[in-house]
Amino acid sequence: MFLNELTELSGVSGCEYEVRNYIKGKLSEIGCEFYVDKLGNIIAHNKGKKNKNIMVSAHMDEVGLIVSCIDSDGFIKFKAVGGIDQRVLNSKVVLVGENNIPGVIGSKAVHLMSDKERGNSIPIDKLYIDIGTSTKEETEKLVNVGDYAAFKSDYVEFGDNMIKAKALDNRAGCSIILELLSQKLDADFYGVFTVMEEVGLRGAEAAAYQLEPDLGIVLEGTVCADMPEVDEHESSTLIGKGAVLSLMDNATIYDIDVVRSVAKIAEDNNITYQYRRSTSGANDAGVIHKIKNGAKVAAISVPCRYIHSSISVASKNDLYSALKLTKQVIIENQKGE
Amino acid sequence: MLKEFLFDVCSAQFISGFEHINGDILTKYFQPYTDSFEKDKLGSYIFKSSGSNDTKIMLAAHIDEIGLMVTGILDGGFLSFTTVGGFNSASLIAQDVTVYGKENIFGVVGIKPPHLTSEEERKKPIKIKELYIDTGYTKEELEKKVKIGDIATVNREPLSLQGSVISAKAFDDRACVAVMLEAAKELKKISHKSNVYFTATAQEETGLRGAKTSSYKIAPDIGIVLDVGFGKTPDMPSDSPELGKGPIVAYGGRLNPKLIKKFVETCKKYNYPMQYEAVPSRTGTDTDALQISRDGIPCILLSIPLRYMHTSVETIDLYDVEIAGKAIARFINELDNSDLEEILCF
Repeated sequence: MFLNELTELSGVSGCEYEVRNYIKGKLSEIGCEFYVDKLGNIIAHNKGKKNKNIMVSAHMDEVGLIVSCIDSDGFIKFKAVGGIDQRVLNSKVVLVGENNIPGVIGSKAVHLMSDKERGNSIPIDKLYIDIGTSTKEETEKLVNVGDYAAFKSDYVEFGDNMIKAKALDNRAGCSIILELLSQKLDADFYGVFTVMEEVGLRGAEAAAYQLEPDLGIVLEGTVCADMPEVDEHESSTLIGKGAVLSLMDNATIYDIDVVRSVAKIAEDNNITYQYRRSTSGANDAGVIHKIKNGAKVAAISVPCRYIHSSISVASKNDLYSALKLTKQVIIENQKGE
Repeated sequence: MLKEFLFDVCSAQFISGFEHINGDILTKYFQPYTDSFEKDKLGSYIFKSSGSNDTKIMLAAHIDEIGLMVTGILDGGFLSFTTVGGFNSASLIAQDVTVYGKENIFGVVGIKPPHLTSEEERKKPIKIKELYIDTGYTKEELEKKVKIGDIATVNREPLSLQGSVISAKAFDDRACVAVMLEAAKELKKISHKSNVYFTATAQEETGLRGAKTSSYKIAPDIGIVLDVGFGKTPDMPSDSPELGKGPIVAYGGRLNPKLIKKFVETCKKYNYPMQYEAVPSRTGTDTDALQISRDGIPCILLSIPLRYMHTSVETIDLYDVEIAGKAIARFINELDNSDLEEILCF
């Protein structure tokens, strides 16, 4: 799939152009009709047998940082873009601005910390990026206030069919849509790559307005906390246990008939699936289902451990389940009554 | 060449107590500039450049780094671990690691996502025992590959920042092993009289142990100890030593005042920029062991300014490394042409 390349691109919310350019290139190679709308969403159309208007969407953006200030010694202060837990920022490499200037986010030496400081996370407003310059002027030649910074993290396959990368939320979804578009199914759907999901589901709202879908299928990388010391009911999802169907989250109550029909399609086709057992978080379905008169939505996700960090982890088996399930759902829905 | 050496040597593991595994990297770089090689029984590497008189000068920089050690193999393919040397647990969150088991195993140290943690939980200090290495294997598969007692390091590909600033793990203290390499290279060009021992000491991070045994073995007349110091960052006092302004010369009870004076004079004479710090008692470096080895060894301590010590993004300026190496070579040359006994006489 396209995931390897997609996860190594920078695309912090509001600055998705690297991802957008990559996807545009791939769509041209595939020979798929598409346009880019006023907010920067990519709307691609796979033409085929049509019974209803289906919008399959995934967001291109990832959580990251935005430069807020450059201090007198050339260090770069920043703010979080999207939901970043300050604890994951300690001792990381980031790429800053359009020229991907490498920088590090360090931490005070453990030797200089008080007992109280040790083990504690450092608040974001006390962190800074070091690009190796020593004056404000030097830094300003390379970086401006408003530049975005993204984690640098390689795509690695490891363990038992696992992947580690940054931005699996939601390049996982983007790669599935690209894969579906490249398969040239004889079933009509719009493949939509949205912007700015992580800062308030912005792109999806404008995209859904343009498409007025009867059925919106949102593809996501979703929370998974199946780790030691976390009870199963608190883990939300289990890695390696298949595609995830959402029932309810902070922004959407998923139409139960749609959810059950997707589950039945999974069962009929021997595709492993699980329900998302957490109601926290939200995704683009939250705005799609409220567009105009309203639309029915389903969310099909890939469980991602350590989501919103530079080292998120997903199972290739789950990715494949989500791909297969989405494909079958599109085909079944376009079969006609 | 210094950068190439540092990127090479920092890509390998030398966790305290496990320094014997990757020694080939050191011999590859040091042998062209030295005459003989031996090890002490704890695993310190000693490269000797022979001179023409009986004076023995020991340079010491520790090769070991802090690391992790596996303590348990758990359900779901997770490993529990303890630390070898002083880690801040917070710096291990969201890192990827290599576990040196039967084969090299990739893993990550993650935490629960913000979506499923409370504000309160996120503010709590993290304990090492609450962190796990996720290997992506099942427990059964993992048991075939990893044993309790296997070690792991954080993965960090060395990185070039702006100018001659570079970032990696384990510049503490391989930046100073590079200083020794630069000094060896410089000394090779001149016919020095003293015997110079370039010593990459073992187990500094766990208690200055290799410095004790290697200095006993060498029995030097003087010691030049090289370690890293705290380079200035926004959270430090404004008079802290800065990167790119030269190595830091330490003054204090663990150092020999007349030897320091001679070194500083040499640097001034040849225009090597230096920074200075006062260390009244414990230096936290191999100096503390060397000074009281055998019947006592007069020492000086030279530090390379480094930001973010004991993290995977330790940051230094190569300029400081180069200056330190050249200054030491020049210092040895000056000592060769002085009456060392007189310098050391109180």
